[in-house]
Amino acid sequence: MTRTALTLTLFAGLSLWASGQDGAPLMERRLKQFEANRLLLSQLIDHGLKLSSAEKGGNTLARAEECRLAAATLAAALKAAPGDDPDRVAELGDHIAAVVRDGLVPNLTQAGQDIRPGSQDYERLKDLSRLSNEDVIAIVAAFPTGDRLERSSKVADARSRLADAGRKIIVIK
Amino acid sequence: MTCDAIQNRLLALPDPRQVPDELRGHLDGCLACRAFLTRAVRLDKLLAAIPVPPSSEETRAAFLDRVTEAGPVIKRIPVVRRRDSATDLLENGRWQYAAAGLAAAVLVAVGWLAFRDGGTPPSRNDPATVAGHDLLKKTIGHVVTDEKALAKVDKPEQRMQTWADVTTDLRDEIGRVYRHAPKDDLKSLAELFEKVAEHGLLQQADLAVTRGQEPIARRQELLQKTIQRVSEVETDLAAFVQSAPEDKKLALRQIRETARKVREGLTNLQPRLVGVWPAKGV
Repeated sequence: MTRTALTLTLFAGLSLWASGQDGAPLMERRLKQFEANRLLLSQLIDHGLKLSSAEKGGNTLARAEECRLAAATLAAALKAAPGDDPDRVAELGDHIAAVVRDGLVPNLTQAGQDIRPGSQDYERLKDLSRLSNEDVIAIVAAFPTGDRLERSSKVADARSRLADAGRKIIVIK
Repeated sequence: MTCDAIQNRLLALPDPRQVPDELRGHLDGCLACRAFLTRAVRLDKLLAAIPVPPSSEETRAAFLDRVTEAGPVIKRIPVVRRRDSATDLLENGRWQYAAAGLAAAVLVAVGWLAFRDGGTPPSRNDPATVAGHDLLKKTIGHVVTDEKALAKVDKPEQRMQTWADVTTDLRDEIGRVYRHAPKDDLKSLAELFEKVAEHGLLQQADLAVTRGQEPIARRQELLQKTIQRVSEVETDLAAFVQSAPEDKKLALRQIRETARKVREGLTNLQPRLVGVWPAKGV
């Protein structure tokens, strides 16, 4: 039994060691990903800087506006995604869904509770909720298409998750 | 420490569920290492679940009886049998070894699947597990989607910590790629690092000091921790510079210099934090 246990441990150890090696294909992929996302990363950091500013930091309406812009930044990257790369399209689609679901919607909802109807900010909020809703509908409708993309369940799922996230936007009339 | 170093230490733990505090700090801020730990715990459970043939009390008692009975212990010269036949495996309970060997093979396959780049296959229902660029995912998390994301937290002290997380993520990325990345990529990483560390972290620390909402003692503690983190980043970057190929050193030196400036800037904020104490009338 000791021998079996040792064999198992050895195999498991070897498996872990082998998988832990940062092999050339993995490194190549990592570098390609960085090159593909270099501009996007910089733009997202800029959104983060604006979200951190003294003016926007504690203001839910301003934060919701910035989240809408972050979603638009990602949507531009989605539009530019290669038509034969369902993984890339699904990845970006899911990121937009996450930004809408976890950033835009909660801040909009909170702003709706914080801002008094009739105030100047309330008008901004109404516009923002309407525009955000229209944005998401437009992104879902313009999801990149192509043979490979249409066959991909990942892409279909990402698109459906984005549509779900968009439905959570409460449009103030 | 880089993610690779942290993950090596996680692998060396006797029980991956018992993570020491020194590693816990990194895990709290690093999605990749948390996922790695989850997979390590899973593998540990799989190992424990492998069926072990029950030890036979009767066999053990018979063996002890034979050893302790009167007369010579060795009564016959044992014949060594060929052990490479399938029949032999099935006789004398050796099928158990075959089963264990098969289990080992399955385990190796599971281990390989679990630990090859990215881990478990993407779940269709969990957007967080969709394969993609790790740094992009983390950055979106810090900016918008995580619990402590910049789009969610109200206090500059919290934002300072989030920017410190972004800074360490970038350090980790630099640590992974600096030997192989083209110069342009390293230059971009240096620009990103400057933006994150100087315009994000340092400016937010300044806001935390001057307009923070936490008690002074708590702000001092957070600032001290942040200085410590940036200091570690600076040390790691110095190590990267040492081991980098000659043509990569320039960009890495620039990143290290940014880290040094930010560490100094944070250190210079400390007296100001003490200085606002009487002004607040606390």
